Amino acid sequence: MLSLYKRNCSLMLERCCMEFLPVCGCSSVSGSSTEPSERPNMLPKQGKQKRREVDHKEALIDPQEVKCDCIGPADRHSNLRITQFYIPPSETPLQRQYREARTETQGWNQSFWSDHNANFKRMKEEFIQVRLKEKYGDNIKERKTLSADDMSEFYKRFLDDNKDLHKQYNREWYKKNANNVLLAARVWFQQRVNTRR
Amino acid sequence: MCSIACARGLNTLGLASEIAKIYFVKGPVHILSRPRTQGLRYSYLRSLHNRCKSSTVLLSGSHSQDGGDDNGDNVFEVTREVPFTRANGDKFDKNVKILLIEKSSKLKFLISKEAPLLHHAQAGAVVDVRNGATQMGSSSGEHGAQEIHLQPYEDVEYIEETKDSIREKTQLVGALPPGALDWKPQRIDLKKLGSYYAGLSKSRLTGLVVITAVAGYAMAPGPFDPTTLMLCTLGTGLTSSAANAINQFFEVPFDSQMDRTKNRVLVRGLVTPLHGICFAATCGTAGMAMLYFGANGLAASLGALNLLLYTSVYTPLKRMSIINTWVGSVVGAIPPLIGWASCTGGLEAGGWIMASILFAWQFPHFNALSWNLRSDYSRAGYRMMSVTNPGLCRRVALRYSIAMIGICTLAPMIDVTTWTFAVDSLPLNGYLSYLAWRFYEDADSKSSRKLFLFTLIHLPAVMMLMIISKKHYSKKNKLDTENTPSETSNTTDLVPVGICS
Repeated sequence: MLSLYKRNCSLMLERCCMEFLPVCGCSSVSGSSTEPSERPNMLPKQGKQKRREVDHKEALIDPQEVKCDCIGPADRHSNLRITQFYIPPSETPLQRQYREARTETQGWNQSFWSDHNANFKRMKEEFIQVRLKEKYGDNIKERKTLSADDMSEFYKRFLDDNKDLHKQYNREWYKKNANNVLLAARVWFQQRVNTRR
Repeated sequence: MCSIACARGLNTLGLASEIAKIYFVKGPVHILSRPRTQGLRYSYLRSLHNRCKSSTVLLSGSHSQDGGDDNGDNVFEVTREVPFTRANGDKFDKNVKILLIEKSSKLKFLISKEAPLLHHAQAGAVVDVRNGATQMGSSSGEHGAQEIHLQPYEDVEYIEETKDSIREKTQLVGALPPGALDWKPQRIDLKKLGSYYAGLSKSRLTGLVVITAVAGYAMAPGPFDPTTLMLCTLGTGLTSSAANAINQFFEVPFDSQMDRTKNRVLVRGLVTPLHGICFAATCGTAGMAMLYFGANGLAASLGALNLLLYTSVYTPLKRMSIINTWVGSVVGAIPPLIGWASCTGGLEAGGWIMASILFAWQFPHFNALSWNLRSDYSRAGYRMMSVTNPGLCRRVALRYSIAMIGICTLAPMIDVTTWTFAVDSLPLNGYLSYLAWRFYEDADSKSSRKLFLFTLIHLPAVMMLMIISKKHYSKKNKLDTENTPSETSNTTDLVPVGICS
């Protein structure tokens, strides 16, 4: 663990040097807080489209270095844990197929859940606003909250609205999941056979 | 070069920068208790862009400790309580807890362009990142890491935050994004494999299932055979483990969405899906074999039926239709039948009584549990009764709680138990019904939690009462076969004692 710890540090330094050097370079404080357009490369995480993507650069561990897949913390948009896949130096076509299938599944899951969760949040916000207005009128002075009963109406509505979407997603997920596990089993068998020889 | 600032056990940690992400952990653990960065987890993240909504503070009376020798492992950060004054001169009688990073450890590199001391509004902690004190100690270590040391703390400056003055911005150079340290290699840790398997099999749920199966065995009027009981118990436990592992395998992305389930083994990737499936296959086969050879074909096929019902009917049905709760209740009702069938080889009325108790019990239990999870279920797309039909959810819980009284009265009527069972289970069922009625009336989280917690006590208690008031067929047998000392008559007497002791 300690060795990993140290390696992390060095890796972290390398990465940070690579990624944040521009920041270091022109970080003189010129009060230029409102000019993000001038240095767009310095704000790597603020673009909205960028956010949704699977961002691997966060990790301090490089799967190539530890020689196995690495799993990260729960993504704040999709709540899923992103995995970085290790690419072995002599990757067989089957292994590649497996890795690509998982990458594809991960990307698909990530985009579905981050969209879905964002949607949930937005709809909930809207619902609360509308409902508060209905209840208390326009002149809301102090912060009012909705009761659990009111909210349950939203939960039901959201669930019903997304019924078909979930149905579709479920079917697709079961397929992908089964496919991935079959591939994993095949890869495992292949490795077994290879080591026997 | 990069900086990463994190705090644990502090109320918060504030720092402003254009790109800096600031994150902190809410928790009772003091940072000094575990100074190693690898132990950090970020349960709560917050990024502050552009502007730190800070009320600046002036710290006084804080003096640095001498840094000590540079022996690598030390983390030169101190949390301290310091009296503080606001920038405008107001004094506070409360001390503020601050985190001073006096010298960078290997994973905490802090540089700043300014020497600000920023205090997040209502925060209990401050991080000081100062440029003036920064020196670049380029001691290239064995890994080529460049260490930057912050000088020991000397004095504290503060900046006034007024609307007119253009405050110069702090910049935390090269901040790492939050969670960067949370990446872990996905390698199996053999030492923890046991706990992973316990997680895969949802050990507590499996434990409850096993208890109901044992109760079913104990209630059955057949001969008592320790080997059969052992194999039946193990077999049921293993089958249940297999079912739970398969269930988790199917539900990884859904489990990730909910607080209750987001720390499951497969969600965290501690075990690969293939591994989980192999575990399930092994457990399932072994469990079924134990039921078949240890007990009988009926028990084994009930186990298989339940496995199938749980994994391929209940699990997908949760996301499709409201009837999933009823299917889930059937799944919960089968284990005592397995126990019963293991003992007698058939399914007599007593077994069905136990199964119906279990069936009825699921509703107050699960409906109360799911009541407080409506938001999560809605987001994750589970079509639970509590979300889609809250009124029905409460009605059903009440209905089955009352039905429980009926079932417990039915038991002595069809000669499964003595009449004591009907009497002494009455207060339990009465209270259950009362709580269910409260839940029905109030429909709030408090009443639902109360009902849920009570169901956890209710079930084992009812099972226990049922076993101690079991009808002793052995006495009848003795009368029937007067002078032949049959083995069965002696051993059946042992059952309740064996279970209750």
